[in-house]
Amino acid sequence: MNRSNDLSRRGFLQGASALSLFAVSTWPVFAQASPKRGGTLSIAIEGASTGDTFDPRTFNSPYWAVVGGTVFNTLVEAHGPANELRPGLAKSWEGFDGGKRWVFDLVEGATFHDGRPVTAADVIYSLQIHNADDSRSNSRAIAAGIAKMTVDTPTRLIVELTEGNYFFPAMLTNYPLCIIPEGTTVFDGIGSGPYKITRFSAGEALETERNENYFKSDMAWVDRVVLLAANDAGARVSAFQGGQVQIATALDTRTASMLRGLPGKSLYNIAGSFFVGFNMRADTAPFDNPDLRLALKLAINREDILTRVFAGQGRIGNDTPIPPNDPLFAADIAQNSYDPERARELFQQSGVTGPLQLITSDAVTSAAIDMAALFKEHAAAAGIDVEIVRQPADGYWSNIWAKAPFHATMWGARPTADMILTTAYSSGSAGNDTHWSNPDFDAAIAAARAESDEAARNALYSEAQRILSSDGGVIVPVFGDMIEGVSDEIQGYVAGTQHCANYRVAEEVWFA
Amino acid sequence: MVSLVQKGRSPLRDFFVARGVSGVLSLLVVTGLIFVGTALLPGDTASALLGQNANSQALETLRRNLGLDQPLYLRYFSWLADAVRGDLGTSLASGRPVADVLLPRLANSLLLASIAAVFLLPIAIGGGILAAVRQDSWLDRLLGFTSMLLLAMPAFLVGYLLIYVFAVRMGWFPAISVAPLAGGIDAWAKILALPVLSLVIIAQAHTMKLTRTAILSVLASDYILMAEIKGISRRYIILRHALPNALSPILSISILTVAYLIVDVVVIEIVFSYPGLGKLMVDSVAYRDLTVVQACGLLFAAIFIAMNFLADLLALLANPRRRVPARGHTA
Repeated sequence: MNRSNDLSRRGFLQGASALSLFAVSTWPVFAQASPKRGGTLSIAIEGASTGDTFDPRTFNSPYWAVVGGTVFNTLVEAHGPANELRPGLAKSWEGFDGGKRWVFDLVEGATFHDGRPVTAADVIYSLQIHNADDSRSNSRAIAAGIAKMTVDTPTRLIVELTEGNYFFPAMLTNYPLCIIPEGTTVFDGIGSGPYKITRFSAGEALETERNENYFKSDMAWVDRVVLLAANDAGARVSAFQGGQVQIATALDTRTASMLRGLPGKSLYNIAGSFFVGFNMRADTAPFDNPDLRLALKLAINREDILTRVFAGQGRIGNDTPIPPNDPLFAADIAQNSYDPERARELFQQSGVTGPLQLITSDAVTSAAIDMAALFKEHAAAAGIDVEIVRQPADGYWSNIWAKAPFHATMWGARPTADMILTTAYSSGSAGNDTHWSNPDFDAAIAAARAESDEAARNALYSEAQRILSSDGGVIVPVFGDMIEGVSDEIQGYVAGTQHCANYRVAEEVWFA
Repeated sequence: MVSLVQKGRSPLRDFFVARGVSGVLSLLVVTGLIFVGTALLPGDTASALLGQNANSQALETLRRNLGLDQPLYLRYFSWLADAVRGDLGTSLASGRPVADVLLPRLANSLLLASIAAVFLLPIAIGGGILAAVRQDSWLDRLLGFTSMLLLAMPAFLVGYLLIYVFAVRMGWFPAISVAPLAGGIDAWAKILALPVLSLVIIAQAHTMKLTRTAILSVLASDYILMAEIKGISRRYIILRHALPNALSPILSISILTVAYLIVDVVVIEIVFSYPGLGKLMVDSVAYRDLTVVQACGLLFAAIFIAMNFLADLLALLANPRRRVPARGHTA
């Protein structure tokens, strides 16, 4: 994972614009490669609330992810559908001692919006606050894995981890880990990012203007960026159709097909950004029985769910959190698929009788409710009686999730496959919502994390996925795509694995 | 009006005392109900804030920091003691003072409701008078039919239909009514147009019906019949005799209309994502931000009680028979 800037974004763009000099008149597509300044970019995003603040430890929604990518920078940034790592405030990084010690060199001349230079001390502060006693950061586990941080020079930082992890730079792309000035206690939204705040009204709108001193001098083309809080999917579609916003996130999958024909509008499918699944608590009867768990995995018709719940917009899952579009996806292991006969045999073998109560809720999206209804039908064909109980969204995550023996769950993609495997499925992890514990699985991911050889590492992750798929407590039938609307006047948009071009759409696009 | 307030038995003073006491009691009951109601909902601020990141340690820490580990009645009385002193506390979700969160939203809601009232009242009251004067004509029937039709439509449907036609199809107005970057009057007019139109459509039927009934009941009085028998022109009867006597009910209707508008505003604000008090309250319920919900509820209740008070007061002042101590009928 040692990275040098052999192909930086700047180099790529210069190359591309040089090409366009020759091609612009003959091939209009290449005209896209010559960005121009100006305009106001408006984006409608869900997940804002009137209680929101600029404290990065509270960033925990699609809206705040994009605020992070507009106003702030992380050390490392992820780009495109393969999550290619690119420099953020760190221009280069290198791992030593089996991924246990990391050296980051910061961009020189980067400044915060108030003019102060960005230094290694700011980085240390920004990462440390996530592990403070009162922190409720969703990146707390990452910060907690840091044993020591030292300032080498003002622009060089040394990070020592408690255990080796070759994915540490990728984990630093998590949006709450944005860099703010050292000692910030009144969080006023001062960052180093491409746009600085001109007006903020919580749960309403964030308005920004271009940061003329932005350290990525060849980015940030539009003059102003407005992030509209639109928690209602209907409002996002209307605003997008009516031209009030150029980009709208998380459009309804089932109505998206009706939008496809609209002139001047494009829809992008973002693959594998989340999954909805069913958790079987592996430490609780009757789901402590591996035969029952496998029986249920074979009793769900994945294609039917993909077609009827997600309108065909998605990918089939194999009961692991790793989507097929992820580079670490294990394609060589057996795929669990609908087999009512085999499921019936396994169910009888498990000795379990009587209905199995499955709890769903709107809290886990409406897809969870539809999926459960279909699953009931599928399982009935295998002689398994699934009884669906629908719970209100209020309090679902604290009262039902990870507690009930059989319930719906949802996970958003993490920056690396290792993170989701560790957070949600390793023994003793606070996020282990199936309470599944498998020493072979734990050993495989622990070894993979500290394995420097890429082929050997991938083999270990593949083995971990095989164990999880055949024995684990989660049913992941489908990875639904997230649908994002982008107006055709917007150029330079590259869909990532997360909404808004991995949150950083503001600095990347320009108006045609 | 000073001359009207006589020594000893003053209906006006009695009115102020009685309504003042009942108003304060109603407010107390409302705050108590909201407190208990929010506590009955599953989950609390801590679990709502943490969502899927909730684990028992994080929940406990956050609850302690927010003071949620105190018993409910203690939290209520300490809130009440502060509220009486004018301190509405701090928002549990953002840590900002509730007044800072509330006041800009209140201003937005009042702006929306008052602009809607400016358009609504002349249309609805004028329509009601017209329908009453031309009772049983085709115009009366048409007004009655359309106003009932619009009354029967749910408020959110009206909002979505307007969005579909004027924002999505025509593109004349924005679908999301968030205050614009350069807040000039024309920009505000653009974002307010659809919400105001929705409110006028929703609330007009009620006001129009009430006005029509009020005028008709006056027109059915003996003195109007007398005037007609005397051969006075219809126009003169209405302007000189009927309208002044119908003024008191029309005033009450107008003020109650404004009170209803402030309630309808909640739904319309959600549909248009308009940053007013109603949207703030709904958002805050989702986050169990009790202090903000409580303050919103208090404000809504206070506005409603004040409007009712004002309506009755004006009715009292506009009616000579009621503002003077009873001496029998003077008509």
